[in-house]
Amino acid sequence: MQSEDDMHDANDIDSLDDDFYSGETEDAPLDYYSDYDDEADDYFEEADRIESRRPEQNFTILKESDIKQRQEEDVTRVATVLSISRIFASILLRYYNWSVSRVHDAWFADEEQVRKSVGLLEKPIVQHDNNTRELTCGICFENYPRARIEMASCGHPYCISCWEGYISTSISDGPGCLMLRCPDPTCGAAVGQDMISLLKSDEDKQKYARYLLRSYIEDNKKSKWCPAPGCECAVTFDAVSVGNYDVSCLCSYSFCWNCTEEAHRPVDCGTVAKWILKNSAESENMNWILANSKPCPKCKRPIEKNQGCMHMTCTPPCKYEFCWLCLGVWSDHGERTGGFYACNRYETAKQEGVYDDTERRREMAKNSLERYTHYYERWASNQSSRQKALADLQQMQTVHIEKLSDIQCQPESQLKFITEAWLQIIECRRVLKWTYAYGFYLPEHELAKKQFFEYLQGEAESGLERLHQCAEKELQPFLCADEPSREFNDFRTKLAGLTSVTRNYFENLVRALENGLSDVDSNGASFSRATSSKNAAGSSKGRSGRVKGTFRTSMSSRMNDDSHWCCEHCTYANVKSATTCQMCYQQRR
Amino acid sequence: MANSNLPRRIIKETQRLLSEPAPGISASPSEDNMRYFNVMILGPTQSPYEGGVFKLELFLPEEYPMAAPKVRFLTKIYHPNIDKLGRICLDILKDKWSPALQIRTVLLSIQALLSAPNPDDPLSENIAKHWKSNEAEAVETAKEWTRLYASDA
Amino acid sequence: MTLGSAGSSVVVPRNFRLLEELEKGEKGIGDGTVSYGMDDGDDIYMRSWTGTIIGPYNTVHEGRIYQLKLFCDKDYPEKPPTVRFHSRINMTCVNHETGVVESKKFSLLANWQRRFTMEDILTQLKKEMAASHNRKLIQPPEGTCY
Repeated sequence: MQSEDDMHDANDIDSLDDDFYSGETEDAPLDYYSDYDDEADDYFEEADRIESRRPEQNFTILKESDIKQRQEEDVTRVATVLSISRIFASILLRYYNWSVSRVHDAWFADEEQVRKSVGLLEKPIVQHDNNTRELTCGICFENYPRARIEMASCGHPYCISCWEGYISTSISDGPGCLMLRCPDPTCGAAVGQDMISLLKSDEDKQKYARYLLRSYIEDNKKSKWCPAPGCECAVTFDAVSVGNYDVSCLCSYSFCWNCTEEAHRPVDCGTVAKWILKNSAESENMNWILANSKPCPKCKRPIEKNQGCMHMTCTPPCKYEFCWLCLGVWSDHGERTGGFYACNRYETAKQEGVYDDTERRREMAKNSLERYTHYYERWASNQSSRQKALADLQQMQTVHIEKLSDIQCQPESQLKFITEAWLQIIECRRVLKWTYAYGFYLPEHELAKKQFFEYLQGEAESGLERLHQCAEKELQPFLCADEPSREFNDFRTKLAGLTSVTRNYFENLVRALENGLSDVDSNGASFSRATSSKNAAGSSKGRSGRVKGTFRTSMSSRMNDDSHWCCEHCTYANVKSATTCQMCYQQRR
Repeated sequence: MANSNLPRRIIKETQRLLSEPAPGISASPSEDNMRYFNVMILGPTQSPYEGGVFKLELFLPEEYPMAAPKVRFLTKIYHPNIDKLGRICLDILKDKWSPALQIRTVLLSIQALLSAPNPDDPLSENIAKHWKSNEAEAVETAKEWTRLYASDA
Repeated sequence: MTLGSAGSSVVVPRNFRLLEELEKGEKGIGDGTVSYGMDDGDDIYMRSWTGTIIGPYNTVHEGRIYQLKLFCDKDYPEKPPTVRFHSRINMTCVNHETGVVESKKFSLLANWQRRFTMEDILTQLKKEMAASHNRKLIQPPEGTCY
């Protein structure tokens, strides 16, 4: 076994991979995904070589202070280069949507024209004799001493209180106040921030400052606000690299820069828009699906789904275990019976016999709704599972980690693997959710692609189920314990291992789907190609090097394998020499 | 009571309107409400409204001059930018209002609107359509309405 | 800004006040259970109006749609409009023969103030329908008129 230190290093993926996969059990962790290693993994290996692993971050998150700073810097830059006041520079930048280069281009092309259209006059229209002691306000018609009169670059005189009224009316009308002009309709001279400072009302000043800040983000093509409710950060997107628009804000919300919907890799923006539109069109039909309770398939009592994973257990005495999605018995899912996770697939009900046209059309309409329902339900279930996981993570971070740290006598820093697991679950639920929109729009006639996709998705679904279940249910005993449990380190190993394996699988899945499963041709010859490529990929990477000898097609074949035994408790395939299960540490019976 | 605290600006504008009326326009405040004006505008020459006397009412809301005056026609008029209730579609009465504008400038603009109807920014869809599809006929209708409703007012 | 600018010395003249009410009614009010509009779009003096009240929940009026006629004379809003139910209703403040809302029995009309609006009248009548002395009264058949 590994040393304690190695195992605790759950933050470092690489070292975890190495430690976890080391020793006699080197090939074992891939069994989490039962048989995906022989086909899917090879498929992914190939994809790995084509695309670089983690792209550079091409966005910057800006807090309010960062935004202000950038804005100030831009204003200073323009003021310096054009030798104009900062007030004028700010007006210019606003006019050209905060693009410094556009300001420069326009200004140096035709300064006079720019000054005219923006309203930055070089000389006042109305000249006031320095000896004039009183001026008449052009709004209230009262005479005021010179000191009580203010004017923009044009020289049209208005008293301070009329300016106040004028500016505050404009501020309450909205962000148009940033483009305010002199009250004289024939004039058009810009009114800048120096005039705003005349205001008595701090509320109005703050509003104006707010609009100015918002304008810097909203009128600038390169930046946007984080769409998460309550989040005040903005994002600037620096370069459009191929396809990846995912942005992750400081508030932990991830969204797509391109369409500002939540992050939706591996699905493209167009599909997301279509899917969201479809959902709203079908929302009435779908309402019943969102219900949080379903009758137990065995005893018919309503079961409320209050946990994130799809593995449901009816209340005693029934205790029937079933899958929330397909209502089938749970033991049919995953490797337990040597089958595979298949309730992600939509099978059109087989129709036999001859139909007349009406009947066929009715059948087709029914099928089309049924088909949509199938995908929608799974999309929505993953969505709510994700919401639940987010809440669980929150609970974990605020309450449970501390409690667990006390009970198990572990420093909180050593419990990061739990948070990591939950973050991974949340991310995977998001990906999985969108794979259902992907599946819905996958052309029916591309049979091989569809089958392969469903296979990958099924493996993802089942792998994530295992991780989610481990993080959700297997943690419970340790939380309720009175004293440190001996098994806690085993739980750590298992959960950290599941997290890492699941992360890898999903990263590969995302890349494969983004490539449009391009390696699969519609004739269905892909599996063999992918498999044969394995030898070529060979030992180019540590992981695939260790994959050797794991060519198994299913759990059942493994159980017949003389060199392994299958744990009764967790189904883990252990090497023959082991007397305790490497995964759950139960004695071999 | 209604006329206490009347802003100096309104008093001055009123005085000027009465002492130096703009050609073809009269505006006088109502006795019991100095913010409420009875207005007459003569139909501009060489417009379908020539020869007509149009009655309007004008009110200076509390926010005036930061907000525009409210004006409407009381005389029925066939015009694409004026609706059945006499409400007027004119930019300076809405988003283009500026406190440097005055009652006088508003009324002059309305007079100009009579000379130059703008069927592309209509308030009365039907009249605007009529104007665009058959201007000569629409102008005839406007003349007819002027005779019917705006004469000897 | 509230209609009629209570507490200010500025008095909004009748016609401009009615135009404000018209525009507010066109935009739609609150939850839509009361609404009103002008009867004759050609009437430059905007005298005749139709109001609608949807009967409040948990009363005999629930789900019923009541139509009313409001007439704003030249002295509106100094004086209240005359208010008359068009749909038959059994209510303590409504005359059984004519459908007229009797100001003596409806305090909003009895204690009329310039700042009150037609919306206030309709909203108050809806509240009145839900008052204990009205909510359970036997009602004439739905859809009948005075």
